[in-house]
Amino acid sequence: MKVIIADDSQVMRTIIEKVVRPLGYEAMHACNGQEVLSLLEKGCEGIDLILMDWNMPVLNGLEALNLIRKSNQFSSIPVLMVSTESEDDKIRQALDAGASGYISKPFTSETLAAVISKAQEKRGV
Amino acid sequence: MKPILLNDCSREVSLLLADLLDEKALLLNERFENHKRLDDYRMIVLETRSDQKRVLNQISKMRYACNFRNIPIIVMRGREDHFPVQHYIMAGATEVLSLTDPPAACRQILQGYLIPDRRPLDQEMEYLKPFIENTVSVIQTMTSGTAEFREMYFSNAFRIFGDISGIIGLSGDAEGTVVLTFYWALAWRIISKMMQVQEEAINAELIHDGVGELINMISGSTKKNFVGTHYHYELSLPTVVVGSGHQIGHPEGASIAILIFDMDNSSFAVHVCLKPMKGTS
Amino acid sequence: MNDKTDILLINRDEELLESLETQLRQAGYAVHTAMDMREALTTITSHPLGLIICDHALEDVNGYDFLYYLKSDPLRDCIPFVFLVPLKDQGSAFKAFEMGAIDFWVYPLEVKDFIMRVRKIDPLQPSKTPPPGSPPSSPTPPAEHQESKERRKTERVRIAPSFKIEVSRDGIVWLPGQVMNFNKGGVFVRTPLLGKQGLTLKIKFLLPAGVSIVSGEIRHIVFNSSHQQAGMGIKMEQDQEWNRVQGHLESLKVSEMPSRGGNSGDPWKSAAQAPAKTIMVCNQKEQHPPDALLTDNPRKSEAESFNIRFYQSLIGKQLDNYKAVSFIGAGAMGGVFKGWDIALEREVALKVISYELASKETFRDMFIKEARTISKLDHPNIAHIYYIGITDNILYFVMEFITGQTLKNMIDRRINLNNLKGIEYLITICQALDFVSNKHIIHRDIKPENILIDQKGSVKIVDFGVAKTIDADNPAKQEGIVGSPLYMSPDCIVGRAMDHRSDIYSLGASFYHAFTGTPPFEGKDADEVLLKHLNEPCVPLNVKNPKVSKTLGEIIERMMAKNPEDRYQDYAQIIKDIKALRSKVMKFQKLKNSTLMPRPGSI
Repeated sequence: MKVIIADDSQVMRTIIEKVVRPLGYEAMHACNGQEVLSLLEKGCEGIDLILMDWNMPVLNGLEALNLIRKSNQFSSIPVLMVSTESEDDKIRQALDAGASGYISKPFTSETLAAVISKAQEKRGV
Repeated sequence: MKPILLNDCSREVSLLLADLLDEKALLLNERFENHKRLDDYRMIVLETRSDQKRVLNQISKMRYACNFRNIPIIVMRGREDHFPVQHYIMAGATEVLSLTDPPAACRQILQGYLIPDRRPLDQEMEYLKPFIENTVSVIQTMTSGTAEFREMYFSNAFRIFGDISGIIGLSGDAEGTVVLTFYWALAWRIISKMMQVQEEAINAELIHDGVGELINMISGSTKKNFVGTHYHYELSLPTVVVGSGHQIGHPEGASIAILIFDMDNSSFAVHVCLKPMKGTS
Repeated sequence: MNDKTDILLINRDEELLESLETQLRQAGYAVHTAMDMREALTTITSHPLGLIICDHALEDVNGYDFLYYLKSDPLRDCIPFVFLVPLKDQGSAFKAFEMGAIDFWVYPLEVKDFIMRVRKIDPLQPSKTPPPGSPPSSPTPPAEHQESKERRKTERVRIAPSFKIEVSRDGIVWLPGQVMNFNKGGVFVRTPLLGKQGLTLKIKFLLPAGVSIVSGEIRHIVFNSSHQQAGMGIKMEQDQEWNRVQGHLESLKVSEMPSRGGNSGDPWKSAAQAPAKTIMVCNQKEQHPPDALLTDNPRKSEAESFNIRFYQSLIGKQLDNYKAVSFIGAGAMGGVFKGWDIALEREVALKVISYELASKETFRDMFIKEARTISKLDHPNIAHIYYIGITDNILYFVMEFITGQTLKNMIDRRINLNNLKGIEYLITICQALDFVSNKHIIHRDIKPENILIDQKGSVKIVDFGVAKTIDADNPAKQEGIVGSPLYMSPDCIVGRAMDHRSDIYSLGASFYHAFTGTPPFEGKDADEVLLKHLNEPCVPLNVKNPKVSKTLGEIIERMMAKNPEDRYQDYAQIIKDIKALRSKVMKFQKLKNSTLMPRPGSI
């Protein structure tokens, strides 16, 4: 299984990768929304999950999510928003835009792992 | 009562201080040694001699040894010292006085610094408490380590003395800035714990990145506590600053709270300056 | 002293080694190269080295081990050692510094940057020795003279170090910076702020014509060590604003080096002048002159500086039952804080008397003696005094906290006060001061700063800190001058016995300022203004501002008569005259509204 970890912070990407690897994911890194889109378009086949930070330079996570949901090819890939924004308003905004789940930073590895498996179950259904 | 440290001061300066300060003040003439903690002094006075470079170095070491505590470092300039004041202040001195300054002014300034710090008001605790709790919780969640809140004070701290600071500007219903400041060693340890890697695997770039992420998480998770109040704000992008003595802009007329936390025999500080905008309540 | 200028380059990458060697040779250095420790040690024993530049991994050992080896050798531990490592595997700068490396560079590095850094550590022996009074070294400045020397050979430009910029990511937090270099495309700045490549930054340039803010994108980041300011190359948005800034930067470049290619003594000269310039700016900033009039007098400005520093020491403290929450500002008499009364749990204004006044015995006595009387002034247009106290020699008083703006703020913001509202303010203040004078008290510091208009629009007179009770039967001569030069009465200036007519003068002068937009007398220093108050007739109000009615002008001018006998003798008279004027104005306005309403079709 493949996952794209999109976060402008290298530290954050490393932390997330440490959680997803034991779950059986192979991780690809992106520093902003633009890089996520080019990874998808470059034909990195079989992306199973995207973990997306909200506040990123160039193209932010929400904008990238909108573009993904609008596309024909990638609209079905589960996208989890991972953000320091933690108010209900913001969470709703992300879910309305098509996020499959929401994790607010800081998180424990257990929480992150739990949200990921829940998203995958949903997809399975 | 906590003593005042006269670091290697001449007889002339010692006498002058004894004369200026009231007789209750406990003056200790000692020499500052590296690695000595200065947390428990009320004030530190040091005298400049001909070797300014050494003095500057000593001031910054002393400022570090105060572990972010509000301990005034007063520089007494010798008669021959015409070195620009700015350099002492940048190194960490609180105030620079001279033997030739009017004694009445010196007395008032010294006495001003010796007045005990005020405690926070209830309405200030209203917005400071969430910052304290969330700082502890972010550190706990990300590093599995324990940061303990120790003390707080209010200051005119336009300058920040630490090795690395993450800064976030706040705007919206309330405006202000939040700053998280570490010394290198602790930042190094925290980031390596966060990433679960050996300390050797950490480089300067990762520390910058990680400190930015930490301040982002602290102010982001605290923001949630303020939904519906006039303290609610929006985050800007974190800025990371390296080095000591940097000046940070705060909104005019706002008070700046410095929260001090202890972790692994070291300290770090969170500066909170939050001012509700007029017209909202 | 320093005859060792040779450089030893150690790197596994032969191509890189060659290219660096060429660059250094072109810059005039004798260069030796090595690919492993053995080779390096041979060179060290046979050549006078001024600098070692080493990769973090060599063919036989790693760079840290090599450094450790050198540092444990007392004959070689003083050779400056710098790591030069590739960006992709940076290693540990921290460890390197701990072990005694003096710097930690990351490549790719631009050639001129590389050479500049080498120069900082290993300057080629200058033909002349530097003058003994060269500036003291501190973390960033020492490079300066080397740079200016070097720019003769290269195209490197240098901007006056006193030219400051501010850098921000969000437009909220601004940090200082310095332009190191620039061209049409962008700037290279040094700043404590760190950003990532690709981020947009705002740069604030403080140009003589005003502030310019230009956005740009971070193209590359250079940081020598974790402790030092980073250098950032920023590609600027090519707009008009940037053209303006660039033009100014060009002019700085030219004026900084008037004799390009001139005699070799020049760089030293400019280097020695640079810190002096900066210091002047710093000193001015330190003092925060609250009143421009007073700063021209060096002795007075020094006292101001002590006062400001005294107020600073009280931020975050508690005086008896009153917390100093935040600092609002400083005036001639004292510093004002927003305060909190812990006993009664309410906001208060806390005014701390300046150390100068507080240390005068006569003032202290008076301050305490007058306190009780003044605190009894109970009038809706007078800010209440709650408390007067002395703690550790610090004199302060506590008064009602009023949110609003001062008359001074309104004048500064050019709010037109030459209208009914302005007249209303004047009437209200006269009524309040009439009440004050009936209690045999004079305010002694009436000025626009002490007239507040609160959020509901009602007027309050504040700051009775230097007020005085007068004994009509036994008028005492006053000691020293009290008040603000711009609005001070002649009777006060010459030290004559004062009564309420002195307040009338100051009130007249304040409203002269409010109605015309300029104070009655201006001058290069306080003394000149005081002399004018004494001797010079003021320019009639409607000459200064033709929109001020002649009648109103005459009222103010009469309030400001030099001789107290020629002024209004009491407030009742003033009120009567202004009220008459007010009804005339109101009648006229009614008339205007009913008959002069522009009708449709009229011009």
